[in-house]
Amino acid sequence: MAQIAPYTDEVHGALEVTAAREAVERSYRENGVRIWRALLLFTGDREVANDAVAEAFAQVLRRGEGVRDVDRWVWRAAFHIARAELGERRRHGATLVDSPVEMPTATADLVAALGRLSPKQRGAVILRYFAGYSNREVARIIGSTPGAVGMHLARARAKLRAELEEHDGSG
Amino acid sequence: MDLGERFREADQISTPDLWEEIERREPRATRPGPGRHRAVTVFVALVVAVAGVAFAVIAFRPGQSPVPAASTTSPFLSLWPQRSVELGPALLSDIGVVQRKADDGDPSATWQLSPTEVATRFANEVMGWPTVTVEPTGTNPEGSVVVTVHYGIIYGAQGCLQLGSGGQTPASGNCSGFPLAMGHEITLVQPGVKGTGGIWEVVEVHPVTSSEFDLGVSRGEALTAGQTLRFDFLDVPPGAVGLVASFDCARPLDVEGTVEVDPNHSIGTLTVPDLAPQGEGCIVPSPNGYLYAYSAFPPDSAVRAGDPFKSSVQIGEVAIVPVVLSRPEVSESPSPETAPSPTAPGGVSEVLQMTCAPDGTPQILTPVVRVQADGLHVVVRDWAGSEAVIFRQQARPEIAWSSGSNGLDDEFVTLVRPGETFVGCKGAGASVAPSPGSGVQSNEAAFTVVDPDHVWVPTDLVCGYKDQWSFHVGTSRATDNGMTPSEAARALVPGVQMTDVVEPGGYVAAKSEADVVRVVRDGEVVAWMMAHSQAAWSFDGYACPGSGIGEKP
Repeated sequence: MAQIAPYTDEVHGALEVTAAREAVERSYRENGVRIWRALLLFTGDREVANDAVAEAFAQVLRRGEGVRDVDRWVWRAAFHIARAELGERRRHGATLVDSPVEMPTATADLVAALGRLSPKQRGAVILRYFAGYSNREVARIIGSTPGAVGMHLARARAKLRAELEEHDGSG
Repeated sequence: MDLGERFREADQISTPDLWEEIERREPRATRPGPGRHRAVTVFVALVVAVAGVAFAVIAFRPGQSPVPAASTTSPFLSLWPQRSVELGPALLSDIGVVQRKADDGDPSATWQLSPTEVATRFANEVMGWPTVTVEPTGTNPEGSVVVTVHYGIIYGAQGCLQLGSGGQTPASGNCSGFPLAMGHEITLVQPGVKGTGGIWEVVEVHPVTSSEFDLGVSRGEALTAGQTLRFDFLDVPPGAVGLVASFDCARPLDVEGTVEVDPNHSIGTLTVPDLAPQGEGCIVPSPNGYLYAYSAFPPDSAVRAGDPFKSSVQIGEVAIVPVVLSRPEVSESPSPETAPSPTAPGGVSEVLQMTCAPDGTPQILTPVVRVQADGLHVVVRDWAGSEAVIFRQQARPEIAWSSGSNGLDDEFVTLVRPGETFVGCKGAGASVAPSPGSGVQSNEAAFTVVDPDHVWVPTDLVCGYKDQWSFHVGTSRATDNGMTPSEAARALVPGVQMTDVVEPGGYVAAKSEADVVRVVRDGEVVAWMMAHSQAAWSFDGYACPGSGIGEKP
């Protein structure tokens, strides 16, 4: 006969930790790739994308059940971390690490054009058109308002269109 | 290839599996970013704290509460953290949200309650200075404050000391990697709440360690297309100085000036370009922008620093002033008998002045006109037998606004929205036939309506006018029940959801028979309507397909 261990607080805690860990891993399996690609578009740098994704998920893993909506929390944290990393590099006078990423030509053009937008415009357009978030959700992630996001998007779209059409035309 | 396709192509990029690293990774103890102090030393923290107290004494001493921050011109323009160049009309609403977050104690916003903290972060994040010392400098009569930030090294008895580093000599005692101490005065204002509970915005930046970069342009000044600006910079290092005006247009509009150096002076010259009309070159007819002059870092470097808000390169010294770009006044002057129009700075008129020739040809005397809170004010100096004028806009080619004039009214107000506009004269041998989507026709004249004060609340549907559909909702609900048009629309128009924002749109001060109401869903306008309140409420409007608004249940 199998022995049944008593259901103690320790067991309860361990089960909670396991459930939280499983939720984070599930979130990573479902969203990690998309977040990583979004961050690559945002930063243009594979190393920054790696670090931001790993750090964001590691943080949410440690927080356990303290995070109610893991997906949204990680999106927000990852963008926050990536942006801070870009700022750190800039403060130390460094330009982005040249870590070439194999990508379709059209995407490479897009990444170059995105790099000429302001961080908020870039974040808004990636979250809206790549990640598929609504303006309200984009505002929550980048720390803005839906109205401002609409403005960022309008201007980012116009700039991207002009840049990419010009590039297509010349090329 | 459209944007969506380009983004979808990104799905082909190979990705790493980071799960193992995530599991074994020890999360960093602290994260840089909003709500946290940057990696500044205890020394700097102490300086900030002392400076903050001193500043509070200066700025908020008893009996002299801060006066409202009055910009030299309207509207309010901010350089950072909220940026008028990007946000345009949404600037104040964005600032309002940040203020509310600060009121709630949200650490992502509370740092903006301290002008010294805002100035420090500006130096860190925009100028790329990793460590700074800060000192509050004073309060201006209009309520703005000035905070001075310093970066670089100074030489003392013990060698070189790096400002903001805790007084320690840089590693290995080598000072060559640091510039000599530079200082900047950063001007901040509180756009909304005044006093200790209000957030601060950076509105101007000027170097104080040298006087070279005196731009001589006021905050919010209108730069007119074609205008040439001249600057007298003293003793700036040749080859490492830039002079640029940057505006937020569809295509990058970074207008670079030239700096010519002689033994005593550096003369900077910058000509503001003529802009293409809305939609062709600039998104808005009078875009917000900023004028800046900078030196590269290190100062003797030939590397150009570029736009401090976009570049990833540290900058040396910089002067930045927010400006507005406007289009020029018409070259031909009005006839002597024509009374001059009240004209705002930068060649923008307060009233559209025009005439109709006997053959119906319109003539515009004021090519750039600023709208008022109740709409576009028009004066027709000579009707010449025409009975009305018709306005047509690219944004809404299916609709033309008629003045309804019978030839007797010389002055009227119409609800033409901001943007490029065509006008024609109609009646008595003169006629116009608006043609959707085309440019100016032979019997039309073009002018530009600008809205620097952001009085127009946009009603442009997110789906565009081509996909919109019209609706009419008639009700028997009496209008004497105290409901506002917005409340009535929410209650009576089918398809409006609980989470929708229903609010006045267009020119909210317009004196028209019906009120314009717009419906905003997830931050985007999905419907707008005219709310008629004669005896019973009725609504005529346009909505995006799929919104459900105006559809019968």
